[in-house]
Amino acid sequence: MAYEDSAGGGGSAFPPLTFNSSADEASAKRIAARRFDEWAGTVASFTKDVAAKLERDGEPVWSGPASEPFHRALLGDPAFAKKIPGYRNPYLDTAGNLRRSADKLEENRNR
Amino acid sequence: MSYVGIHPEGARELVAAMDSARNAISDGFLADLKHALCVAQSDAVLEAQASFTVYQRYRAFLEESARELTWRVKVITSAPDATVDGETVYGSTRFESAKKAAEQGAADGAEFKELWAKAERDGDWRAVEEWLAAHQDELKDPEYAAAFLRAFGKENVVALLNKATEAYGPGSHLGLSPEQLAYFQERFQPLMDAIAAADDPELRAHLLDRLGLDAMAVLLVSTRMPEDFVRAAVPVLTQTFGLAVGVTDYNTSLTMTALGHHPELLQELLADPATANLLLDPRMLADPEYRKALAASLPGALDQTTSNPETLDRAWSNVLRLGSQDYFVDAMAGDEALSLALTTAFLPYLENAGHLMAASYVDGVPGLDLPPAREPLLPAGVTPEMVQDFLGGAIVHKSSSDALARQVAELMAGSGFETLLAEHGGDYEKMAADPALNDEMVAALGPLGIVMGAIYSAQGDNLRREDSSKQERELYLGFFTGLGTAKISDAALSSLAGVAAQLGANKFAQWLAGQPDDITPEQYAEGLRDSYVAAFTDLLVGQGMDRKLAEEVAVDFRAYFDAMEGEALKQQNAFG
Repeated sequence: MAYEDSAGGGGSAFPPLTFNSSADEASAKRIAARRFDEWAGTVASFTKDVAAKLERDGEPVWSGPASEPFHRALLGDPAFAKKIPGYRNPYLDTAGNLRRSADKLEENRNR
Repeated sequence: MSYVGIHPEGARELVAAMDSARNAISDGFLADLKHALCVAQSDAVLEAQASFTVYQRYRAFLEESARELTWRVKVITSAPDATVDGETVYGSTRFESAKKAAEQGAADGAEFKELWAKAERDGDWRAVEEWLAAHQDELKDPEYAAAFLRAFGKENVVALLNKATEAYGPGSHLGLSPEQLAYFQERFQPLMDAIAAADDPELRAHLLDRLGLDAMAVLLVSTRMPEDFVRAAVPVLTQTFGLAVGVTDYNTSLTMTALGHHPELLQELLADPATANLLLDPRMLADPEYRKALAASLPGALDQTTSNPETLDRAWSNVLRLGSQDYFVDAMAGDEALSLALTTAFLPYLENAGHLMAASYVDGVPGLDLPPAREPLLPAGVTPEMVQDFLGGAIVHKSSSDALARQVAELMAGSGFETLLAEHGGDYEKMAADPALNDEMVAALGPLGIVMGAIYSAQGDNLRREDSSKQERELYLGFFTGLGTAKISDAALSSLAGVAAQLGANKFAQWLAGQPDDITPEQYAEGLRDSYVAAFTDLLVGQGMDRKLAEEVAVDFRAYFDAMEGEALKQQNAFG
């Protein structure tokens, strides 16, 4: 299994949406900001429960050579169990950016 | 070969956690995230943008890891060469990974499909049979088996099994005889193992829809298919129950044997009056092969520890309802293995049956209330007479009577009756008012009454059964109401445990079974009486009475005993 993350970002790969008005766009950005806030609070649970079940009474529940890629992918550096909980701050930053953009859009509209 | 150590329970919990995480990263979540990132554009920091791809990879990782780990748990825990250290199982897997196993299975399934097509064309199945024999280990691997069967094709699986059972069986949907079954399994067990190992709902649905009666019965008896599959197959398999005339329908015994692999399912079927009637139909019990299968399968379904108590209660209700009918009693009288299986399964209820018996003794007698019955309780509506009739068929066999006698002796010995008598120091009024003593008396005497009644039932002597019941009733009531006879009655009963110990359960069983070379009823009655007298004398001496005086009292007891019990026992000439 080769699951090590190689995605490093660099420019949005997500196609931009078309809005009818700057008001609509501002509204969409505020909604998206709320979602990122929510996700910032939940992403840690995606890996936490799995990592907690890797051992039982101090012994690995799965050992042997075949388990090594599994443990490495989950716990290595960087790996899912470290990377995914780390999205908390980037999500909060993104939410903040979205709100600032929404504020600007509304300011421009009100001028 | 791949070495592995697995903590099965821990691994299952880990798989459950992975499934839960995978479900959290749902299609809906990913769609929402993608939409939010489309809205955000450059507002999204680079890590946030990258997270989408990471989640997709993590989800695929969870899916494949869960599959891999589930496969390893199944393979390792069923591997014959696995070793256990604490709770961890160590062993090796034939394939490097679940994925490799599936790849090999798919390739081999395609190869086997060609072999099968050639076998059909040429009418020569040897290559097919040899191939299965050479791959029997791989075919037990769940991933390999599932991929193999998908590549071979579900239609081909059905065709092969149907044609093979037709070729090796008697035809006419009468199933395979034990010899034919063994021959069939030698050749096709690997294929059936693969079907059982592969967790493939589509294949299973197809089998339920298309597999013939003979092939289905053979598959179920040769494997441990999931309970849901067997439950779905039961209506088809039982539709011919009781229809064969003048020939043996082996599918019925194969079905009953297969149900023995699923005791809780069989219990459910017995709990339903309609299916219980079908499974225990007189025509079915006339078949020795079917009785053999019943003897093997019923104990698990009727065991006190294996099931839902309410379902067990309903199952026993139906078994005793049918089991006390003449055809069933006759079937048990003619089949020692079935008798022993049912007697043994019934033993936990013997104390409660004795309690019901004692309840009939005190019925209508003012001032006497039985203590609460002890569990397990017989189903509502079951009478002591039903139990006696049911056991009457079994008790003619030494093995069953031995088991019953042992249980009676254990209940007597464990009753603690003598201890309580000693505690009251000979004050009979106190004894009569002691609920615990009452309780122990029921435990001591009731089960014996049930077994004695079963003997008379076996002889078809209901008059004798009523007499016996009456005598035991008098013996029982004598203690609680008896004036001058009270001393004798309590001593008689207190010695029951001693009698059981002295004569030994085995001799009692021999007497019950009427073995002419072992012990005659007269000898038994004599021994029983002597033991009672000796135990009674010792009891009085133990309570401080002069031995000579005690022996004089014992003479009175002997006379009483002759009148109450010994005479009845002496009349058991039919046992010799």
